[in-house]
Amino acid sequence: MSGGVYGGDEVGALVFDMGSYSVRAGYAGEDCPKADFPTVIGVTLDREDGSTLMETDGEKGKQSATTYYIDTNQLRVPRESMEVIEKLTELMFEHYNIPAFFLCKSAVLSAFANGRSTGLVLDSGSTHTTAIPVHDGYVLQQGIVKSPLAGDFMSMQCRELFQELGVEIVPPYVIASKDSVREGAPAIWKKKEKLPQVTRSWHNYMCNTVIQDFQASVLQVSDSPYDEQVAAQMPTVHYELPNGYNCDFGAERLKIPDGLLDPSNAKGLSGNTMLGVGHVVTTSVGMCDIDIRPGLYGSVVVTGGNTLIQGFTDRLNRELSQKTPPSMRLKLIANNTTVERRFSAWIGGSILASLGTFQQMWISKQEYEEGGKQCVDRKCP
Amino acid sequence: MRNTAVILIPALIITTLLADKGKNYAKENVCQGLKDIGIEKFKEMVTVLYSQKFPNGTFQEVSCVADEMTKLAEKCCKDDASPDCYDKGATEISEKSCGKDSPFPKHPGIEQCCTLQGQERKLCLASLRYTADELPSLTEPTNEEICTEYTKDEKDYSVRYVYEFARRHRNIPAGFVLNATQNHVRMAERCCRPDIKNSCFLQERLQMRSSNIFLKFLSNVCNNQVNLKSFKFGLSAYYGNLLGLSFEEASAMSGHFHSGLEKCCLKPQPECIIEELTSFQKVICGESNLNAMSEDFHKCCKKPALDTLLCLDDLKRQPRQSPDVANPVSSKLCEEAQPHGIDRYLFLTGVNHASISLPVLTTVLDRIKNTVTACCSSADITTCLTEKESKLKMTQALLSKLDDTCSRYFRLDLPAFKTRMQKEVQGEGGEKRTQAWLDLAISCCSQRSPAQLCQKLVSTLTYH
Repeated sequence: MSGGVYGGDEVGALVFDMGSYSVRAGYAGEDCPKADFPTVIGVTLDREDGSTLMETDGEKGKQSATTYYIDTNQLRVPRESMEVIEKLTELMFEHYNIPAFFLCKSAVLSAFANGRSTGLVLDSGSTHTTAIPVHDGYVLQQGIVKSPLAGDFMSMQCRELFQELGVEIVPPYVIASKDSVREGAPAIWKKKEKLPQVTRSWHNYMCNTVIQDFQASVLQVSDSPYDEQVAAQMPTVHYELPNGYNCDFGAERLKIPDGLLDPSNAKGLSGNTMLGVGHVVTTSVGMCDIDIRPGLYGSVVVTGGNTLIQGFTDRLNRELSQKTPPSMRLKLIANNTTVERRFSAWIGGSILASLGTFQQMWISKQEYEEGGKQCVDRKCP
Repeated sequence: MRNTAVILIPALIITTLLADKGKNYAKENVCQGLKDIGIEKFKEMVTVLYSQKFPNGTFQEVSCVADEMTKLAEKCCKDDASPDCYDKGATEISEKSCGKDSPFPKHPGIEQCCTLQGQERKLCLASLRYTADELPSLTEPTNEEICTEYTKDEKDYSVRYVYEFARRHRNIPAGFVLNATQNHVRMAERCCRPDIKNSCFLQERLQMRSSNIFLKFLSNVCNNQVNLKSFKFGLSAYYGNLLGLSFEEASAMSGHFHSGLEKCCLKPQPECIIEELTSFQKVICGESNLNAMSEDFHKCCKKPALDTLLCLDDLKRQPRQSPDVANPVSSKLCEEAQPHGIDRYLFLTGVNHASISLPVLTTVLDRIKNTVTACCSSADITTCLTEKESKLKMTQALLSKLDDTCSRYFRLDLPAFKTRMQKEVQGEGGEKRTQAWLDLAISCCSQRSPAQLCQKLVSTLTYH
């Protein structure tokens, strides 16, 4: 038993949570990850003129591209891609030579972060909104429901909004100086001289950060389905883009995120084939045995950066109470702090890895050598 | 120690009512049990047994009878108690049950029992068992809520939890219920003081995982056993489909499983059912089966005995086309020479449907069985069967439709599924019929559907 080899308290574990937007890493037993960096690989390209790389404008985490970030989505692949999971196990033991390893699904860890082993984990991140039923620490595969309506969808809608307003999205690295202009007036700014060539992908990446900042600051989910008249009376929020364009945003604040909950009104979606967040949850629960549904509705764990939009949980609560039987007790567990919501899977991993019983759960190097990479299938639910 | 109590305490309820068949023996066993586990656990055990028997009883009613039984044991097990203390006390309790304002749980059968006297009355009362609908599952309160309730009144919390849990697991051995409730209370004990610690709760829950999962499996399987009349036939078709077995093989397997459940589900001791399930695992994973089986099946059989059954339960059933077809109904079904005529017919009818849950499949097969059996015992079998032919055809068509509906339920999202059902179910009383189909799909398409509810919903369906 691996517990005998390692003497209990002296053992520390590293916890990694790899998502499509960012990677969280840190030490087990701590409250939050030490490192949180974007899941992007930056690669330098050889330039004809042999000039050095351009520095970005001092934002942390986006250093010059000699640093390699890890872009791995392995922990979020569906069960069928066992080869990927096995490959990761192999990589860890063979290449990095680690003494012990354990993989756990993010949804399960999000439930664990709240001290529970059963719940419906609703994870809305950048690429997908997924409902994952977790029961007694195991994911119920048949109940997983995915929708592409998530952060990126809203970014797309924001971009379209700016397009309609005739506003160009200019990332900060391009701007040398800007003038202050009246609200709604075209931006007046000066481009930096001697801008080196950058790849299209990097430029898009920088534009995305502008949009995402706008998303985080301005958007709000209304507590009832979108209504033009109600939205018109919405208090406005003033926002200024890096190039100086500034505007008061009112109805759009509500309209854009409403697409997440009620896609029938959203632009650019053909028909009603997309599921709103409420339906993602109810469909997922509906795929599970009727006996466990009260347990799932009683613990809807809301996680993922996209759920941090103001008003999201209240509206979700309302949607779900309308869709579930009146006798069903509904409880949304949504951590109040940004940190906890974005890092719930990591925090769950941190708690799990710090438990005394964890030593019985992990795969030791010895077990790997004896059992091969298939042992990950056996030991990691 | 606990095992002794588990065996003996039901003796308190049942055997003491057979008082004149060895009253001293029964009393001594009960008193030994009380001495072994102490008054608290004794009372908990009695609460479990009565909550299981009378799930519709209120907490006060169940507490009341548990109290009286405990007091009886306490009083009459003392060294200085009179020899007939026990018998007198038990009689008093049964008298009370028949009283107008009985503080004990109610049961529609009590009135009839009370028309009897003395020993017969006691036996009648002892055999009462409530067959109410399944209760909705317990919601899981947050850790904070658990701690708030627990710290208010520890003893009360403990007993209430036992009551609520037991009445929702009424057809499994009481020993499992007691084990589960004790685990839960211990979790509260450890994790609520001095502060509420999520990591403590998580650790406790992780440790309870496998027993919880097993409990759910057992509860489902025993509920089916107790409530579904033709469970054996449903099981045959189910195994035939899941494992690709012939009628003979499937029948043998389901017979084995069924008799084990019949013997042990309602026995308070856990050992009985564990033994049966272990021996069943050997049968199902036996040599003759292994060769023809899928890789997933092999993986399941490599696990420890009880885990194998859980694993098999999770295997996906594939649609299958049995080479034999359920022949058009003829009087051959009833012939003496073919004792399995009807059984085979039922098997062939049910075996190709991979998407229906056991309760639904069993209910429909039961209906077919009743129709055919009724004809087989009638004066003119052939005429009877000819008359019933269209009814049987309709029932078979219903089975196919249920199969399609459930398969669709898992393929489509809920809103899309609802729209489809609305489109399909048209005509008179369309809305009611659509709702009946929706209710059935939502509650009964899952693998572990509740037996009684689904029996009811299937019947509702056929009347629309």
